[in-house]
Amino acid sequence: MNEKLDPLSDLVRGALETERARAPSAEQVARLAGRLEATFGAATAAAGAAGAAHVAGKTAGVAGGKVTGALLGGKALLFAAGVAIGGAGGATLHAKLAAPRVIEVTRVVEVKVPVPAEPVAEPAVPVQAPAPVVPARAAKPLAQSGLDTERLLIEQATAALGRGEAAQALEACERHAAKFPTGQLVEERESLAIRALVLAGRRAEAERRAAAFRARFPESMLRGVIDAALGE
Amino acid sequence: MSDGGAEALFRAAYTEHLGWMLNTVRRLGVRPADIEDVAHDVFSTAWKRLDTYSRERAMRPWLFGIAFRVVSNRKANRSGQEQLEAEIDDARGEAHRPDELLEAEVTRRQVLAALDALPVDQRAMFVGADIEMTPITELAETLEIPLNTAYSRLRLGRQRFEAAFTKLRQEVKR
Repeated sequence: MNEKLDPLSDLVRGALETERARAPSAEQVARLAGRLEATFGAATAAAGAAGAAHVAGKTAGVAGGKVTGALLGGKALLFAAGVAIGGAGGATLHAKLAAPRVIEVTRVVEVKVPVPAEPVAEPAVPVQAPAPVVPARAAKPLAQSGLDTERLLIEQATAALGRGEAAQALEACERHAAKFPTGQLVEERESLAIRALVLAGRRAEAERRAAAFRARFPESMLRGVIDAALGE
Repeated sequence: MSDGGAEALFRAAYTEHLGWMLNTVRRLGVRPADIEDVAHDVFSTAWKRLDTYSRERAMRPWLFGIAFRVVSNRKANRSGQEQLEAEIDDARGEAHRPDELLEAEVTRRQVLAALDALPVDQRAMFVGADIEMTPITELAETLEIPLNTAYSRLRLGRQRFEAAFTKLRQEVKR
């Protein structure tokens, strides 16, 4: 085995140092955090008795930062009220997240964000106007590929659920079910549909669908999401 | 694995590594317009495959392996026409960039452009080893390739990157 590698030139090593300091915009991080919370928040909230998950450590070559948001009781409704950035170096990004209506905030989610030690050309903060985190992406054309179309429908359902719009979420799930009855994102669709039914107050239907889900996907990682939505 | 520990672990994964993941998928060749979708896919896949994660290992190399597969599959599934449309979209995006970019940002764009000269397998090794600074042995394990292959890909990746990056720099100086 030849484990000897030619060393990188000084020019490239310097460039890679610069690349390591790359940081995604705070807006982008907050948006993705919102989508992840909308998708997985209920499950992880159920397991979140230990409080916010915040693991110490730094990304090599970049300063540590964090985005802080609020996860709203099991339904993962996330709306950004604004994002502000502190000083360079150990900067803290603080995304204030608030509900569209009064719902008790049950815990805080912290998201670590690499922050560059030097200015970048496209500073994306502060965000001035309140903007919804979950549905922020513009819709893409439906015809790219089967998986892309599936993903788009699931995102629409996720975004609607994030906005607390159960009917719209269910509609997106039904469209997915009609177009992709055995698609790659069936588990995600069923999980979202069950949560939407719970949100709509259609508990009996939610429980029937959950029972079918458990029978069909006994090993699914999304069972926790469903259990949490049903309060089990 | 569906216990609360797994769910807490998953939350830790995406809270801790979210920003890093956005950078990583970009470095692996995902277009700016798609990096959130792809990062979301990576975490969704990670959630489904959480039972394959060993808590004795670092989380990032495991996530890196998933990111590599998601990006590779995505590239493989893309038709020539879609690729062309994506490149046109990117070109339009580039047309709107400011004329005067900070030097660091110019360098970062050149790094990404030079990475485009690498095949995806060499690119993954180069990004993992020389940008993410992940040990080669760990990358070989994560990417499920022999250690010899990992070294070979990295060696070739370095050569290509050096050539592409140097050429880009020289073009800028002209």
